[in-house]
Amino acid sequence: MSSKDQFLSRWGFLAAAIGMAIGTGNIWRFPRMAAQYGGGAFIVVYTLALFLWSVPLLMSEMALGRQTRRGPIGSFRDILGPRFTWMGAWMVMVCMLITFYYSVVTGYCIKYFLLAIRGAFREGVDTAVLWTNFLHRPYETALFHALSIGICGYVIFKGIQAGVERVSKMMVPALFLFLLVAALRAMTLDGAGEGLRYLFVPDWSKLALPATWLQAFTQSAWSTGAGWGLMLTYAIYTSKREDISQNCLLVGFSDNSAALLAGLAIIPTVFALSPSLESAQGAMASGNTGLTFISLAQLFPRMPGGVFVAPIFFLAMVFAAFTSLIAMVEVGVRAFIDSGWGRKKATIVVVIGCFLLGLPSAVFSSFLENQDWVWGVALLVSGFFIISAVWKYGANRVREEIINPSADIKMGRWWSLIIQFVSPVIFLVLLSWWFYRGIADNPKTWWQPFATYTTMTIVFQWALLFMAVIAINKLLSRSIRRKPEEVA
Amino acid sequence: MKTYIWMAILLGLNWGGFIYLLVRTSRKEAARAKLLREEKKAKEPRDRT
Repeated sequence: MSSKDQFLSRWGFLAAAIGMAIGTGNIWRFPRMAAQYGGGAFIVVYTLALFLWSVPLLMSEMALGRQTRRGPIGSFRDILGPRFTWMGAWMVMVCMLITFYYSVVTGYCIKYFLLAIRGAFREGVDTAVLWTNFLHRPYETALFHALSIGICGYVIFKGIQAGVERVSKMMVPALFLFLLVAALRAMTLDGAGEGLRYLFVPDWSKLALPATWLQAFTQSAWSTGAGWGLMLTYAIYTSKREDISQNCLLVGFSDNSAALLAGLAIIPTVFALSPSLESAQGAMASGNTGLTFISLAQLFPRMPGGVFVAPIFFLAMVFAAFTSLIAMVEVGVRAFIDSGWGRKKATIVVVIGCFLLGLPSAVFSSFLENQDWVWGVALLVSGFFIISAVWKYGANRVREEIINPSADIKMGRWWSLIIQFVSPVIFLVLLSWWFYRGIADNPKTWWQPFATYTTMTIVFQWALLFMAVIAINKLLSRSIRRKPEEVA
Repeated sequence: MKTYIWMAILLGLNWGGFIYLLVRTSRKEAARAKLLREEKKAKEPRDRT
């Protein structure tokens, strides 16, 4: 590996890793979940999830990537043996299947940033119509999808130092600054107190609901990027002395902090500017895109200074989405590099593939919703595969030989116990719950494989992917180069 | 009042952790940079005048 294919500094790596973790989910999903599942009670469980699932998994990923110096496919082959290469392929494919539609979502954010700059959110404008019209212009959604994946491709094409690191070092601090500005404006609005109460005062009765625990754990898992293969891939470009434990803790805490900052920006705005409490609660229940692209777009004109806050908020969305998209595309590019391809050729192929395979999501929003439903849950399986790799290598060996030698904060035996016993139980409970709710909530439709939100569509598409990756297991195993690059 | 107490506790827990780790990392990186500078200085040839 050339020295240019390594992060130049620890701050560069941290900026990229924090950018990877903070995505649109922090901004448009966390505030809704917190408001819906007991405010402060949800935040307590969400913080607990950081220590029981997300951070141990991030550390495991970083340890595996740094040890093997390969992406997920090569790492699984080296650690679990050639027969299990398909596990890494599953992880890469799930990440790529998410990338296809996430690029479309990034395009939505770019479009709304441009609308905000042009002052399109004015009093009297029906933002629901604005949103629906945009979705019904496939050439436009496809154009913004092309723009987002194209810019992302350019960044990755430039390499780790000149592309990923440079862009992350600019975008991540800016993202925090933009969220801070939006939060300060929201908190100083008349009537913001009701939103703050809604967000922070715990409703402990919600802890009795399994949904609170499960939503908090799944939100943490998706939000931090634990189990996606993203941290594993970035770890390839770090030096041997990079502190795994402290970096992963920092990434986890930064993700939670950004989510809380987004909550402070969104919930007080919704409660202060909505005409009634029912209307505010309706906005919070209107889904990710409904809250952001319809409700907030409608509320910004009523905010003093909203003409400045709206572009800042949507630019924060663009930066959050974009830095995560870069990490996702890099996972695909790395899979090709591990097979002997050059970075530039691999980037061109992956970007063209992402554009073409993202087109169905750009054209049909129901297809995007289906893909989000199916592959979001599949990340739990990817996380379990990481746990399996740690089992095989030996949790204590990972801790003593890879994590602790370069660690400022040493991991004790508790880390091994969590990754060996607690995380697998969490995985089983979360997955079982998803399937149980899917069937129990839709007793008449759950078996339909081609509907948007059914359990069978998950089973059907997972089965196809499982069969595909197992079928090409031998080919993949042989395609990975024998010697990974040495890094100082 | 209750809102602000809970806000302080929950933000303190998460932002506190984040800021503590940021400061700790900064100090370590500053110490490492200083060490590298001193090593580099020690390797430089001495002034012969």
